[in-house]
Amino acid sequence: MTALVRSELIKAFSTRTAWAMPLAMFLVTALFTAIGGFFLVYAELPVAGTTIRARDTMDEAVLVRMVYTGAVQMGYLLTLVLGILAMGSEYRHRTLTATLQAVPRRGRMIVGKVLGLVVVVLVNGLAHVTAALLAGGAVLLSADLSVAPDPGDLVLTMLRLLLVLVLWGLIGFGLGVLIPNQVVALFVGVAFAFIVEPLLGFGITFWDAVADAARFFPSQATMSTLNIFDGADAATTQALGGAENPLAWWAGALVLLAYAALMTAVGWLLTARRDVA
Amino acid sequence: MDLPAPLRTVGAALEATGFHPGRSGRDHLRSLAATHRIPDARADELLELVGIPAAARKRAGGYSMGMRQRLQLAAALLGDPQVLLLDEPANGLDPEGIRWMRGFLRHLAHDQGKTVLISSHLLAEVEQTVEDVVIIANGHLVREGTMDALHGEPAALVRSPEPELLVRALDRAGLAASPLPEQGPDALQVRTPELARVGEVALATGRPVHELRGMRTDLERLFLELTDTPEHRNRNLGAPHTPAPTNPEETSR
Repeated sequence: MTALVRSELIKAFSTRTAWAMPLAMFLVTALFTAIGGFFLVYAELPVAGTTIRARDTMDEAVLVRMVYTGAVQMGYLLTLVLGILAMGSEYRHRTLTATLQAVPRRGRMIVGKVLGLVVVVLVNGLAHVTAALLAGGAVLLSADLSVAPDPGDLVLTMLRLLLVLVLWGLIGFGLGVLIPNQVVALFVGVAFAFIVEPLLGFGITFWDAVADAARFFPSQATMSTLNIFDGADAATTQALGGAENPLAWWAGALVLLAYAALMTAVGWLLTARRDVA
Repeated sequence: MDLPAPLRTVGAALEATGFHPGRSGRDHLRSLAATHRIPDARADELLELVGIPAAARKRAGGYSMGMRQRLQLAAALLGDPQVLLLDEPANGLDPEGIRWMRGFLRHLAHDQGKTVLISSHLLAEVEQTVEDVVIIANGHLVREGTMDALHGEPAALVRSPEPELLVRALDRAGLAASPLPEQGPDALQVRTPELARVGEVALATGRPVHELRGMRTDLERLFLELTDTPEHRNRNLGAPHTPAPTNPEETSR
């Protein structure tokens, strides 16, 4: 299996995506962390004829976590794309024939690809975390706030950030297996993650019977996994966009993993008996 | 049957295989080699062997058809397999490349004792390269044998303005001759490999000869003859006369 992972890593690091993606990840993350951070730290809200600073409405720990994870949506969008490309490019450039000649058992091929993808996403995740710490730290410093009021909590948040990025990479992989057409898979993945799912999650809050299901949606499960609102009261959490009754962080991670596994399994079942080309 | 290391048993260069345009040919080979723990040095050795060591370090998007064929061949040889399966290996090669490919495949078969299976529609090329032929039409085997056996018995084609008289003269000399209308009204087919005897008979009996040459069934003609029956006509081109029978028993030999 290490041989298969090595093969996948050679593939992943022999195209321009190898350095272009971490670079894009770094720049996008720095930009969105800075914009989101400035809003959190400096925005003022009108309350009862006067204004209060947004940051005064929340716990310092929550504020710091929100600043450092401000670009998580951009981050998981990019790792979603990485996951789709891991499978999609094999179909698109018809390299799958050669891959399957060397590794005819599709199950082994998929496991090798998943492990290789985890390494690739971690490399990109490090670019994300580095940019988030630099940009988020700069914003906090500029407002004379502590960069790391609780270093242990910060490390934990960054690890959870990496976990979320890996899980979204796996969701992308599942999508790539499920939809062999790479262009369609990219379109569906991005459109769903950024348009359909948030609208749907917002929409069903008006329908009491199923409103609770929203916390199982990928974006809500992601927020639960990051555990941003740990220690904040329910009213503050909801005011900041958190779920009313969020999942535990590990439950959120399992929900994301389940999405990835389900799509991979269905995709595998659909394609296992199909001719490659 | 499951092969633990398939690349070491059979190497295949299939038409459907592609390359990532952003990845170099060398990295393509390395990624395949890694699955079998084949060292990178083997990839470099093969790139040298197929003649594209420098080009293989560039991105595959700019490769010509000929370079892709050479790269595919190198990929098929990675595990030094005993059996090679090549789909249209000469497609897209320039004349020099075709000659190189012919020589290289012969070298693999004769000097290294490998079994090389080629599927191709370039019949004139196949004729010069292979020893055994299998002709398949619409998924059914229609003929198999050595190249020599398929060529059939050698014969002579002779043209004369007095074909009937020449047939009789050849008959008396013990040579079986028959008219060959598809070559024209003056053409005869003589079942002998000895052109000289035909010429001598004609001279001795005073029959003028306008042409005299050896005739062998070439692969292309044999192929067209064999596949010109309704059940073997290429079904992808539609059925001009009668539809192909769907019952496989009707097409069995």
